[in-house]
Amino acid sequence: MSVYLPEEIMEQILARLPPRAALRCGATSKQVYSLINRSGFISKTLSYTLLSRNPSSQVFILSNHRDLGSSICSLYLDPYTVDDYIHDIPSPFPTDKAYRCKLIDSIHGLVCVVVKFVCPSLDPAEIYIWNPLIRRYIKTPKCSLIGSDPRLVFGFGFDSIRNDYKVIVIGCHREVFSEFRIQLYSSKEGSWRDINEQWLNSSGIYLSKFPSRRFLNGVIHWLALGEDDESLILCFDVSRETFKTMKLPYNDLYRTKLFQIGESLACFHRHAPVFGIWLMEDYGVESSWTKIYSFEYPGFSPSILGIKEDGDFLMASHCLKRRKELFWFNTENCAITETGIRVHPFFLHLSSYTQSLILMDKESGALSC
Amino acid sequence: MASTDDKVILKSSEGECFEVDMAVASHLQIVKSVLEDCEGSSDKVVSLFIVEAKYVAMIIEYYKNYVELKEKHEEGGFEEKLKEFEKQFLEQIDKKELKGLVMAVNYLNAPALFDVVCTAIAKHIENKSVEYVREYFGIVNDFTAEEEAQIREEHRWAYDGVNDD
Repeated sequence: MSVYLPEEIMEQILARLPPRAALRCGATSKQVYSLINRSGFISKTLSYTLLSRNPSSQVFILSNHRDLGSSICSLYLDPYTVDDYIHDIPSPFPTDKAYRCKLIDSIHGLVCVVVKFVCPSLDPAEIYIWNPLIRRYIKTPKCSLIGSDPRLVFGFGFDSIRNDYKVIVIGCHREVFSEFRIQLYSSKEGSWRDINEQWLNSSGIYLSKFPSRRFLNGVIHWLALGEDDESLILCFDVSRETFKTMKLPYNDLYRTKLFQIGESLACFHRHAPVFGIWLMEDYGVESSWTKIYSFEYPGFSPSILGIKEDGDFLMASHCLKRRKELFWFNTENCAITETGIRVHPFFLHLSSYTQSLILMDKESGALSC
Repeated sequence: MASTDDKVILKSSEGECFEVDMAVASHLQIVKSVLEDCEGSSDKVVSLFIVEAKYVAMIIEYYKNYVELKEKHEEGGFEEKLKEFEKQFLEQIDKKELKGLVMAVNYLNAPALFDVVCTAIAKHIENKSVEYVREYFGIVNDFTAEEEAQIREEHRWAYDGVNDD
């Protein structure tokens, strides 16, 4: 005869399971099913997941190319394995040749993607917030900036005060519109609203189309140019909905990519043939930028997907024997190990990723795909 | 040598008594609050009405080591040593007993051990089938066959690669 545990203890146990295992337990009984579908349980599971893992130990990859086709997958970096549950899965958006999909960012297991019809771009882009693990998504309503402004900058972030996932779209074509126009989608409100930000308009900041970006510490970061053409990071505090800037450690915007190592903001400087990786050791402290890697690489435009502790880099690059797949590059002996995962480096979008059950509750309004 | 003032007696559901250092017993919130309630009384016996002796012994063993390790590694390295001990501690506990232990720890309100035992149970069922999880927790399946099939179909991929033992 088994003892049945009270629900509050069951909840504590199940919340410590990996998302997939918790999901499976839902099939045991009605009570457990309703427990794991509650938003409180879903956030509790997420907080245990976030506590127990290195945030840059898994990446999500979206690669969408006319000839190579599209590939959606997720990889664990150390030890290197493919996440079997996020491989050849149904996506809520079209990925065939006629569309171009770009990954905006990924937070808490949610992947935010903007999808656009390639040819005559009369068909405005759509934005999806998707949890690939549980195959559920939200398609945002139409954003009026999309289609009316040719230079858009996107960001995806989490407001921890309101427990709200937000998408921001900045219309940057100031030659036409003299001002930045900003719209924000809140998953709580389910709609877009305008943001008036005078500081940004008077800041003299220039944003290129689809700049490198990363959400971290409650803030969306984009690479930007300041008034004197200095390289900056434009920061948007997702809870307060305010902007500010931080300095990059050097002045070379167009050869820089932002990403995340552990809990820290990092940037990758591609000044061929020497490549450098910088880490902002104390977040927000500009003097704490530290160069943690410097290496030579026989190609000129690699993308870095991740770093193992031993200094092996997971990269994509089209220059080394026209390679069209991901490979590990050892910075010490330049050895290359192929992974067999085909991507086109110019159409490769990636982000740190973690599995979660977010969007599983009914109240989220998410649909299944 | 500690005086008897620093000791407390914990009495299990069967009436078995355990003499424990206050430094150890104070990790159990329930003991702390009982003693505070009867402050000044010379009687330092706390009855843990619903907790069996075998669980009282396990809980005391855990916190005795916890206190000792904390003292010994004040300068650092405590968490690592504690992890090592926890691994060894959990190895000697039968998987079915983990459930009784988690109930006991919950009743005594001992957060550190509660987290350890919940995590151990979660680890144990992580790769188990739905049927095993039901049997382990004594969960009665109240779904109709159709309802269960529908729930499994919703996330079909989540049920691959599990083991039943």
